[in-house]
Amino acid sequence: MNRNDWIKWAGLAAVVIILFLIPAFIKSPYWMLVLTLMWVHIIAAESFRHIVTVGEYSFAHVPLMGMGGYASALLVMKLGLSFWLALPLAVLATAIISFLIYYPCLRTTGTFFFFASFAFGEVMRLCWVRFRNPFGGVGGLSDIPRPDTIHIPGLPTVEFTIVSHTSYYYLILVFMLFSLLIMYLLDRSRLGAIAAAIKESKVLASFVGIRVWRYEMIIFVIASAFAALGGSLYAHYMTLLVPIEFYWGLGIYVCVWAVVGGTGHFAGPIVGTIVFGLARELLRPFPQLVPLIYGLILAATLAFLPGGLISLPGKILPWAKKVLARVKER
Amino acid sequence: MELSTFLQMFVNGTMIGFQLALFATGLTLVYGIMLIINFAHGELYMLGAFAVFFFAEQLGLNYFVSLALAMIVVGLVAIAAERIFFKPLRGEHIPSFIMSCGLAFMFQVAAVLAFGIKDKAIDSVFPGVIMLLGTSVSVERLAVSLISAILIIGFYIFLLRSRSGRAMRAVMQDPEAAALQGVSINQTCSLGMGIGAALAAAAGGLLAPVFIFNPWIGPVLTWEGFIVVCLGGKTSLPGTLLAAFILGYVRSFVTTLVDPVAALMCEAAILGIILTLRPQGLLGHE
Repeated sequence: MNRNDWIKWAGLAAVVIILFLIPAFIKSPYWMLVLTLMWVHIIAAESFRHIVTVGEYSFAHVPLMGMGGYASALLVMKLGLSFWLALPLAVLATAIISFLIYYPCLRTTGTFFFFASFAFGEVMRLCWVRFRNPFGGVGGLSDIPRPDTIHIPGLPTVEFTIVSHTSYYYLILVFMLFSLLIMYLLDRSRLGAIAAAIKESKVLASFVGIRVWRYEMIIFVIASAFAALGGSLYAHYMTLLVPIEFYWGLGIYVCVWAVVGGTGHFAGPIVGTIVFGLARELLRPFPQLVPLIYGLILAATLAFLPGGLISLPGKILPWAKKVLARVKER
Repeated sequence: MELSTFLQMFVNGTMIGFQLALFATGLTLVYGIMLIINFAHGELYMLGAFAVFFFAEQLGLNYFVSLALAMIVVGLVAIAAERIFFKPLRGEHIPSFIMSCGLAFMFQVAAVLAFGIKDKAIDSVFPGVIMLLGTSVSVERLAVSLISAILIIGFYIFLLRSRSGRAMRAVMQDPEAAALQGVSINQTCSLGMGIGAALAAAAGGLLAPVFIFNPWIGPVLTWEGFIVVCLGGKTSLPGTLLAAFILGYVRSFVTTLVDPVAALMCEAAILGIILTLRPQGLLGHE
């Protein structure tokens, strides 16, 4: 490891420590809610980026996130399972459903993949609206049980109630860091390299012996599993699931976070989600302007910064160095 | 099922078909010329409705004059948007699509700032109901369908007979070959966008007296329009007409016989199935 790597890892460790210390400083339940939801959104945007690594944009992603929430909520509510068992089962169930959804979608590419996935995601979402039993219809599911108390001998008991913002914060933070770690390792593994090859050209990738269909499907299923994880955490945190939330409003937002942050880099969607999350809070006094600001930031990023916000330092640094050199010359 | 129920569903389906045809023609035109899926198309419909509201209710002009003015204004707005936002991204499909989403947001906010968030309505222009063979048909819907039909026919005459119309068809077939023949791609793109927007605005203006409207009615319509475009064959204008009526009948029959949510499910399923199994649509070619 060279010096730069050390700085990078030390910075990362510092960020993680700060994230763990935040509840000690922020006492306002409102900001805890904002931050906790932001971690859920980061899981969604980062797993969305995973799909983008093969060059496709999926709109079934957010409905699949909802599916994770519905699956785990129903497992707890109807079968009486514990949250800790329902969570992995919901992830598994959503992975299987995502396979069924993406199976036909993979016959298409580009914009039409986007719309085919949206169509199937929408059919799934309308099932929740249409079938009151078990999905609860337009009103959705309410009073979803909270996670069971964690009781490990020797450690303080962790309870989840309506006022336990801190335990929710840590629960979701840990799951977020865990998902990011796994996705980062996947991104760095052979799978990530294959995804990059597929993105470059499906035809060329298949010529060098990559089974394009199989690897695309693997990546989509993995991404959906992480989306389901986010959805399940969301469901048991908010204790309320409404089908309209997983309509294309959130779908487009997740896409915008990832694209504006920069899908070329692993940290891009994280940056995008945080920037937009904070921008929304700053704009809270002017809710009618939020879509306009979103639209303008999006348009400016696409026109002037195709690599996303994450490519901004890379663009500014050389320019700043040049300016500095010129100043020194004088 | 009684005959009168069947007739009623058929009449309703035909009327929905006319509206969808008028709306989706512009979407097909823009996709055919620029290969952009214009997500802001529903917002142009919304702006059309608000423009008619502005001219007819707030300025007190005649309804038909307002409709014509709305078509012109929205057409010009769309041409400006095309020049500013889509021209730099020409040929890049997904960025263009995402850009059109951003544009949709901006139009929504513009409408909110100009007209507020309350639902709006315009007084009916053609009151009354006529009974035909045991089915009730409101005069208004009949008039809307008739005007839509006239506009669509007018558009087809323009497309098939005029020089600019021929240029558009040439660009839809092969932009490079058209450019080599001296067709200006930039002009044709602007014109296509403008005409498509004017047709969407006409649909919005025509339906303004029928339904209440607010700044957020756009996306749902874009979605419907997109299903029509894909079902018809993406770049095929006759396919768009056929698909609009098919979708109108599906909506009308499933809504009456099952329920509205099931109709939405059918529409989404139609889109998914057509995209994955027959991507060229009903009348398109490979």
